[in-house]
Amino acid sequence: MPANDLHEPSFRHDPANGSWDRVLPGNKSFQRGDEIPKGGGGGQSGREGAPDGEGEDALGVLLSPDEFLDLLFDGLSLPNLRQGTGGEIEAEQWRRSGFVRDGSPSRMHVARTMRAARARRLALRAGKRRALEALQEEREKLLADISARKKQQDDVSIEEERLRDIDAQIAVLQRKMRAVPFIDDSDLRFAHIDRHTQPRSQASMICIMDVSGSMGETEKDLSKRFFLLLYLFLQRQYQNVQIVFIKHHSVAQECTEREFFAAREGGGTLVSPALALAEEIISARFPADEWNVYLAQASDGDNYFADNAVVEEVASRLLQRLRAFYYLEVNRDDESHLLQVYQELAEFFPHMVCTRAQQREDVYPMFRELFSKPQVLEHG
Amino acid sequence: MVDRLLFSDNDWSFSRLDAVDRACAQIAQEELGLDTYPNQLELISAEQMLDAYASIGLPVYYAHWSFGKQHAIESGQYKRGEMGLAYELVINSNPCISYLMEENTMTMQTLVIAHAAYGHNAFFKNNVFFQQWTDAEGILDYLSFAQAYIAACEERYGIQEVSAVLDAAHAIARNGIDRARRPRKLSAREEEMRRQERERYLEQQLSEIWRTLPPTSSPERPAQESRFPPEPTENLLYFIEKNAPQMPSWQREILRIVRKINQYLYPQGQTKIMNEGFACFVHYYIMHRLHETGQITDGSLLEFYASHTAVVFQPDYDDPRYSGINPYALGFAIFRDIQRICSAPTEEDRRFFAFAGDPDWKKQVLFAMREFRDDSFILQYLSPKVIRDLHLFALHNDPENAAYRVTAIHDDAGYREIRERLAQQVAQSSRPPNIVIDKVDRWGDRHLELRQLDAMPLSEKDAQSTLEMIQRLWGYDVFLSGNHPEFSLSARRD
Repeated sequence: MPANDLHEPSFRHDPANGSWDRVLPGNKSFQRGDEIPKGGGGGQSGREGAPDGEGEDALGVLLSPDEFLDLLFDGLSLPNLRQGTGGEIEAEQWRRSGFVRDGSPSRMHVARTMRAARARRLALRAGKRRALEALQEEREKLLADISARKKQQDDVSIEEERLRDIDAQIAVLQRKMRAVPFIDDSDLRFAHIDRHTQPRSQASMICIMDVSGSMGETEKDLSKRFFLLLYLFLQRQYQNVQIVFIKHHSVAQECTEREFFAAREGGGTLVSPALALAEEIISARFPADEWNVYLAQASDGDNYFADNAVVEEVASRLLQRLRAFYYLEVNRDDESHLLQVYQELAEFFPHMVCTRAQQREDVYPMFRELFSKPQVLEHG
Repeated sequence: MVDRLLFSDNDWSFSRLDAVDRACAQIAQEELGLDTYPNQLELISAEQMLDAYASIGLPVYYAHWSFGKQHAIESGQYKRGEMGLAYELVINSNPCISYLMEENTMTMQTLVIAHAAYGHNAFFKNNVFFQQWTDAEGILDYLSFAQAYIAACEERYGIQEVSAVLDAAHAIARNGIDRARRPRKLSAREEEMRRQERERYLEQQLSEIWRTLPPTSSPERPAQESRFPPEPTENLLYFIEKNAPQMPSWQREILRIVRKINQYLYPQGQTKIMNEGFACFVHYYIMHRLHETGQITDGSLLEFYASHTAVVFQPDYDDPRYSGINPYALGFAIFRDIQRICSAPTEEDRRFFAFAGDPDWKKQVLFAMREFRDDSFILQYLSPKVIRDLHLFALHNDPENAAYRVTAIHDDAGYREIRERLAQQVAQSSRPPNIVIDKVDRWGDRHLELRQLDAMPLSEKDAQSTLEMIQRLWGYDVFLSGNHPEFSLSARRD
């Protein structure tokens, strides 16, 4: 996590430049005039602090896996999600629901806490207050009595004794009343929030990965990273998104998530069977008026040249039914014919999105970019 | 001889603390002749200690995100075991407040009381630098005023706004101290506040330096050449507080608060070695006397030695634990040495020190404690013996050279040089780069010119962001030039 935003600047010297003199403890063998090479040799410790005693602040923050995923996918969403197709995809929402006695300090509800504290104080003091009032009343009577008797020069020693007794009792009561704490742990109230799921609409994601022989280690690695992010993202942000995995070389095959991520195959490449399979699955399981269907495909772009025409045909049919079509081309220096086909389609269909990744570092930024901009789509 | 144990097991209780405090007070006052503020001892948990750390050890402090950052860093280090907690924390106030940790054993509490409540306390009260610079009576008042004022500003102008002003003020806080002039006493008394408010108000209405109308009496415009400020001024924070052309008065008050609190903390940075050294000297003396008079057990004394040696341990420069000169170690060594030079001087000591052999070592130690600050203290008292004990040596770095050069070691030829170099180094490390306000363009675009006077290169990235902070406060363009003609930075209004 970059500490830049937390850096507190000030005017300070730069110890790396400029000449300085410094006194150090623990000389063992140096004589005057000795030279010590810079940069760690000759026993000079690498840990040269700034002479001003101010270095860069390193601030580490521990995140739970959940928090990490929250950050990872913060602000991302499936584009073009149509609402109210009546069904099962649910978006989660946090909603306030009542108050509890335990919670994180940031959710403490001050008004409720103070109310509880006041109630407790009132309750604990009520009895003493009554006793106090009674004593004070008696004290006043006694004082009147004493002064009356004094006027008649009667003996008041008993009354004064009683007065001292009352004063002592009053003092005790007052101390006890003060001892009732202003706020007690048991007064604390916290706003409670709860997860509520709201039915929104239903969606499915068709994942297509090329596992043919031309896909080397790097290509597979990049593709799998992309799909892994996609998978985590869908699992975390949405409930009940149907995910369909298709792997293909010259033949396409629907598979489980486990088979998909562990896939190792070889052989030549045909892309159209995979798209055809996708189309078949969509027709069978995800009727367009009920489902938001998305498709993501990763490939190195190698395809039998003749197949590209078929791909174009199937893809343009598919695009009529998809909310978005993501094509990720991995690890190529030049653009493949397949990519060109898709790019031409993208001119007609703004929800056809093509992107490329050549190294690991590209994958996450690319993923963020794909899912952070809501795309506009008007069809179907 | 008292000959009565203060405690025999290590659990603390309030009555035991009280007895220990009285025993320490007796030794400190009657034997060592220390003059202290009254003591207030507070027991706190480790959590609270971390909180207190984050606010630079002040018991009441305004809110700012950087304290939270500090807290996150320190509690992380503490939990990972990278940092032990100080056993104590002490506030320069009257009464002098010492915080003891409730986790401490009874021996540790005794050590801490001797160290903080008598050592530091006496230092705060008697060291001439603290006497001149701080007002132990007023500080707690002032801190709670500052806390309330800044909270009120947040309420009124928004946390973001206030935080931006504080960020900028913190950036130049170290350049916000009058070094030469003794500041007026800190004070939160109400009349004073009202008076200042009025004064500021008047100042804003009639600020001489921004008056562009020529005075009616003289038809001539004042000579434009007249510089403002007439002489370069080193207190950036003060200058901006007083002269920023369009700053609302609440922001001026915030700058003032940051400035005052830094002013208050300034002597602590100037006397760290002496202050810690003296406190160690005092606890060392008191613990031994308690043992000699049979008030603590042998076991306690051993426990005390363990933590004492850990505190005054100086790792060598090539030790992975090394992180500079340990002020506790150096200060303690020098104070102990003053005592030794008085009671058992060698020939060498007589050559170096006029007071060698003085029968009254207490007088000499107290004199050293009162009259110096770190750099002058080292110049005056760092003896050849301490230089030899610590194996000190001096290193010179020339950026042109591929190697450091050893310029002095602990031998006859090197003692004086090491002493001077170390004094310089200590003085320098407590001082920020010497940057002054050179000129304000009064008649033109009101830009502010800063100049760096010392020759050490600045860390440029930091300087640039600091300049932007100053620009935010000043409101107009700000420039910084240095000693090298090619060095110049600027921050302009968008």
